[in-house]
Amino acid sequence: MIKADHLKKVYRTDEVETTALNNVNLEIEAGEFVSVMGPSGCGKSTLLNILGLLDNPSGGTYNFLGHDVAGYSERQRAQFRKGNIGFVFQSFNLIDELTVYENVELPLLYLGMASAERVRRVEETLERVNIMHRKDHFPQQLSGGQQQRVAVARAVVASPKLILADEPTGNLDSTNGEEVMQLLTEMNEAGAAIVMVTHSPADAEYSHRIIHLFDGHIVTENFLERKYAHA
Amino acid sequence: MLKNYFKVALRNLQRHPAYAFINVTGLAVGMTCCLLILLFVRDELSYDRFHENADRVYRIVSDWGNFSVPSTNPPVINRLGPDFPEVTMALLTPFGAQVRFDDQSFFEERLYFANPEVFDVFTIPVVLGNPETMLAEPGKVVLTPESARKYFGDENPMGKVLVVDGEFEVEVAGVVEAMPENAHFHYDFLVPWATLDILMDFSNSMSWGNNSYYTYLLFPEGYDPKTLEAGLPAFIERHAGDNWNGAELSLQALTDIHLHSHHNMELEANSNVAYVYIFSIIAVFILLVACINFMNLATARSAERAKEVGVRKVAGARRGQLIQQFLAESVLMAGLALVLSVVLTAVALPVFRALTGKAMPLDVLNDGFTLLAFFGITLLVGVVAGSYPALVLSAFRPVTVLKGTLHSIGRGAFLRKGLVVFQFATSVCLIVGTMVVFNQLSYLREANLGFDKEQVVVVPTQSDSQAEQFAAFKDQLLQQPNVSHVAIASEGLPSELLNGSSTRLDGVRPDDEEARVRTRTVAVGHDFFEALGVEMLAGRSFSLDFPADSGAFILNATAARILQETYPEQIATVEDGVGQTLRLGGRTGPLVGIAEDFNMSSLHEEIEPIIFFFNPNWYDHFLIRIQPGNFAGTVAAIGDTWAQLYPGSPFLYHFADQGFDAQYRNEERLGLIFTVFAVLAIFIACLGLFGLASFTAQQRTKEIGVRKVLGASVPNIVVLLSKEFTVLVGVAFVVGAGASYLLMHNWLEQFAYRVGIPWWIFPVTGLAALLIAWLTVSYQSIKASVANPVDSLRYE
Repeated sequence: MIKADHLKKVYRTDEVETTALNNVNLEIEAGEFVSVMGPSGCGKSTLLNILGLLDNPSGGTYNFLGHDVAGYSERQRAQFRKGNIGFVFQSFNLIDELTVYENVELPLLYLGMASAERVRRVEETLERVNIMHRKDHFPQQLSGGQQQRVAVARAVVASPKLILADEPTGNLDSTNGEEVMQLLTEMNEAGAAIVMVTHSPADAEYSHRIIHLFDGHIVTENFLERKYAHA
Repeated sequence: MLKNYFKVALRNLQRHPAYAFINVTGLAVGMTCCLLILLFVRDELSYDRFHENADRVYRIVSDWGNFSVPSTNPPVINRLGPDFPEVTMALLTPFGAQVRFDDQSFFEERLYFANPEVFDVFTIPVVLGNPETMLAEPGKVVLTPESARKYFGDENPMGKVLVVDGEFEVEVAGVVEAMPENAHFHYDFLVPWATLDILMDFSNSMSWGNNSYYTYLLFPEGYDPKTLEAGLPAFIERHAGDNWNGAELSLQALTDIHLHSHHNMELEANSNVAYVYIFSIIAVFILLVACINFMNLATARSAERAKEVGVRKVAGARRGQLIQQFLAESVLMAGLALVLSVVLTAVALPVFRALTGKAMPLDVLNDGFTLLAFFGITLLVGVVAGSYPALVLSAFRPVTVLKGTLHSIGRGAFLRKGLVVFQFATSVCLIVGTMVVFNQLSYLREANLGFDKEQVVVVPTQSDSQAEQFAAFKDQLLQQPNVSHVAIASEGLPSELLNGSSTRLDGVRPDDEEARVRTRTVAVGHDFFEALGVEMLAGRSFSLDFPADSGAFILNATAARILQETYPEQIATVEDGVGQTLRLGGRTGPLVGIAEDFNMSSLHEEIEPIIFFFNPNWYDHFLIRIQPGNFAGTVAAIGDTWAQLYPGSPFLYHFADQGFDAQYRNEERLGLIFTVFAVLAIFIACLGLFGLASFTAQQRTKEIGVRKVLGASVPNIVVLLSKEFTVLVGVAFVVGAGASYLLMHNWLEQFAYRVGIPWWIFPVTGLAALLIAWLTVSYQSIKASVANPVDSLRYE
């Protein structure tokens, strides 16, 4: 599903040039659950942004679902992201002015989905993450764990083929963190590939494969014993 | 999707009430100003357009270069008809007369002689009577409903008989609607034109110099008025030949009169298109100032909105959709402002009507223009105010904003500063404008006209017989202790000085066209200069001691100077002119005195060369100098004397100084409107500055905390936070002062007598702007600086 060759990302300011990714080669199959680990500043988030089509690489090729997307314009990337990729962030990033229901509905609105279908999908997803009873609440009225469940619901509501999670448990206590990891595992088992950046070895244990990054390079790649269901 | 946008926008407003208040109030005030000005401009542009044939009506103008009148003379009128049969010609000439019915009598100033064609050329709804006949023959009169009510109450006026000037009787033959307010002339009575044949044998008149007849031509559809205009020189040549009065005839469109016509002898004072431009520009600027608040606050808040942009983009929003969203939001904001603006407009309109002296009807629901204006302005404001934030916010990259690395303080800061400068520069311009207008106004009011305009009562006579009884009137008045001088003249004060003729040195180069002085002619009696307090530069004033003075002349200094320049061989110095024999038309006589220059018209005009002489046939104003103290009693006593001598005639009078002041009503009005809009512009700008200061303080919370921990005092912090705005206001002052200097310099050019722009206006304006800005930001600065640093640092 994902094939990246010699990915490179360089950030330039007037005086400094920082290489965030250097010669990264990576393949991810459909339904796979991959964790990316490494110290702060090693390029984890940069990799995630490029894989999520939020950013373009400075060099190398990136093939996503059979399309060479490395040179896509912002507009093309936005179009391609829609419905294919879901995001979960450490800080949840829910829109404060929208209710739980409306936050989850957002990706479907941008997909232009019919209203009845939207209602069905959103309610189904809210049930799946067990937050239906809070659907008319605003984000500030929820606990961190609940907010992240809403964020997961929003990420999966459009049934994307890839979910990208950037330290999804970073702001949560262990109980809530575990719940979220369970949820992600369920989504993965339902067919979505997941790439997750994490500092937590325990969370990484949920995945099939752990990639360690250091200074923009992949230094090790560990396959875990758990086999993924939809290989 | 749209629902989603509005939902977010509304919830955003709920969550940030202060922000919403600043924006909605600012926009509403701006929109209200704009709307009021739009109503004003619409009214100005609507003059005379209500006539069904407005675009095909032109009037004849006679132009001598330095003097022009929107009228022509009897022989031209009598010959135009036969020469140009395709044209319909409406004729008007105004006169004032005393009108009596039974024992009620009033002096009426708005009587017009009019021919029946006025009903073809102008759109005048007929209430009673037949428009074909009501003006067809002498002895009739046509009233307006108002004037009918004045004389006859609710009785049917038809067939009733009025007496005009105690001389001729007229029978009411019709009632027609008065001209609406937005017409360039207004009548209360129309008297058939044919009456002029009885009074002066108009149809056979060969008086090419009597240009007091207003001639309006209605052209057939598709007829080019230029064709007729081009034929006028040949027409003059054909009929007048050498008898022509020298004027160039031209046509002026009916719809141009109100804003573009500034001739002598206008039927009523016209407006000036410059004011339409000035107010339109002010409206645009005030609206921009209000929009800028919205832009500035929206972009200053961008950090708060950034996350939402990021999330929406990640969820699949295209940039265009985000732009739509932000525009929808600003249009919603403008919509809320519209609601407030409707209320504000309703409240402000009566005041604005009083200020402009216009009726300006406002019927929001039934008036397409107003509805369109309301919604047009709303949409415009929404799009203009929303466009910049929409473009900026929608361009945020999700990668950056979702990581929280976006620091809005730097973003768009330069532009934001520029916009604040623009706002304050606009305010500075308006403040300077206001001060210059009032400064000029007070100069005009207090300027030395060359005579003592205080305590001069001007009484226009209402008939020739009144002037003939002047001697008796004067004798009786002089017995009153508070009356010091009583004089008679052919002009009131102020006066347009419409009469003129050439003055020559008698017997010197009689055939030389250049050897003459174009002078304004003013007929005066004894005591004229004494009553006004005008000094003699040379020679003496007219005196009863010199019976031959009835044929003598006095010049003003300007005329004497030109006379000396015209005849340098005969007259060595200006003063030497005294004793020379002058010729004015067919009359010769000695120049007995040269009066100091004094301004009889307004300070808009330069002092013209004037020749003074006796001519009892011309007298029509009494000028009475009274002593200070007990004005009311003195005027009442004069009124009593008037009533005894002229029973049945109302005592009409005005004070000369009030008459001069009234000439500056346009400037006064401009000054007041300037003041109001300056205050509003400053209010809106301050509202924005207040919001901006609060965001800056908020964004610098951590910096303020750190500084305080390191030892900064409260005043240090206040200065720190105020410094930036001080610099901005300083820059705005320089820009605004420069622009306003140029603009107001230009405005002052229209006055023949003007005061320069005083230097102190600029520092005063600068200090005022700074003070207002400091006061505005001080609340936020002090609040931020007294906060406990522990809270702000922990919060960070």
